[in-house]
Amino acid sequence: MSARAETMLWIAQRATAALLALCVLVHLITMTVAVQGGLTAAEILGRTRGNVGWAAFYGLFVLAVAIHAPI
Amino acid sequence: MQVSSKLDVDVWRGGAQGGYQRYQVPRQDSQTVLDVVTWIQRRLDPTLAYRFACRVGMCGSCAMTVNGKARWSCRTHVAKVTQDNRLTIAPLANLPIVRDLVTDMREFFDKWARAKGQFSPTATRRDDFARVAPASSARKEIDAAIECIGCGICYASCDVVAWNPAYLGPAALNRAWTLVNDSRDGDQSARLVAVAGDAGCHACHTQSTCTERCPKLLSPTASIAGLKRATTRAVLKGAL
Repeated sequence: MSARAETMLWIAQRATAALLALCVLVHLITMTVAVQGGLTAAEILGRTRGNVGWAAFYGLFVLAVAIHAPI
Repeated sequence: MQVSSKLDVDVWRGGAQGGYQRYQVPRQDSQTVLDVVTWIQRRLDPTLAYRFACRVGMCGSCAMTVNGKARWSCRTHVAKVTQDNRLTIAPLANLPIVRDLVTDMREFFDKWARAKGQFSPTATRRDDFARVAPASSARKEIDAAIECIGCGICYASCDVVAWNPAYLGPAALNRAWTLVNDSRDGDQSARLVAVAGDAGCHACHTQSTCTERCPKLLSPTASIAGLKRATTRAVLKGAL
C-alpha cells in the first residue's frame, strides 16, 4: 500500500474516532434520560419513529463505526 | 570510596538462549551500574561482554536493561535502582543478542537510514552559509529533538517495535523529524514517504514509554506527532 493511501486511512480513522467520541457521549446521555420513563420497545419506537434527526444521527454513528473498526 | 555492603547482581550470560548468572559485587559510594559491570569483568569474569566508551553519557553505547527497564548504565546510580541490594542486568530488548550484554544494533541504525535520516544538502561548498533564525519555529522543533545520542533505549522500550518488527522506531522517526524541519534539506518528499504508514509514524500508539525513558529527556512521541501532522498536511495538499 502506498504512503498516501496509508496516511489517508490513518486520517479516516482519526476523524471517525473524533466523531465516535461525540456520538457515544450523545447516545449515552440520551439513553440515560430516556430510560427514566421506563424501557419498552413501544416507547422507544414512539420517540424515534419518523424522526429524521435521530435517523441521521444514528446513520452517521453506524457509518463512523463501519469506517473506524476495519481500519 | 567506602565499601558498605555487597550487591547481588544477576547478569545475563550467553545469547538468546542464555540465562542469568549471579555475582557478588561490593557496594561503593556513587557507584554506577557501569561500575558494577566493569568490576565483574575486571575482577570476577573477564569473559563478560559489554559495551561502553565515554562513561559520561555522550556516546550512547552502554545502554542495558537494569531491573527490567532500559537505562544508560554509565549515568545510572546503583543507589537509585537497586532493590534490597539486588540488581538484574540484561541486554537491551527488541534487539538480537550477540553475547552477554551486547546486542546487534544493525537493525536499529539501518532503520535510521530507512527513515531517510541522512541530510541531503541543497547547497554546495561554494555557496554562502545558510541562515536559520534561532527563534524560528522550525529551528525550535529541531533543538528539542536533536540531542539524541543513539543509545537505543527508546527502541528497546517501545511495545510497537516488539509487536511490529518493521516499525522504524522512536529514534529513527525522531531523527527524521529534525530533518523535516531543516530548511536546507532537499529530500523532504522522499522522507515523508519513508516515514508514513504502518512501519512509520502512523504505527505509534502514543504510549510514550520512549519519552519516559529517554536519558536525554527528549520526546520522540512529540516528534512522531509532528510527523503525523506533516504527512497529513502533505496528503491534503496532494504532495504525498
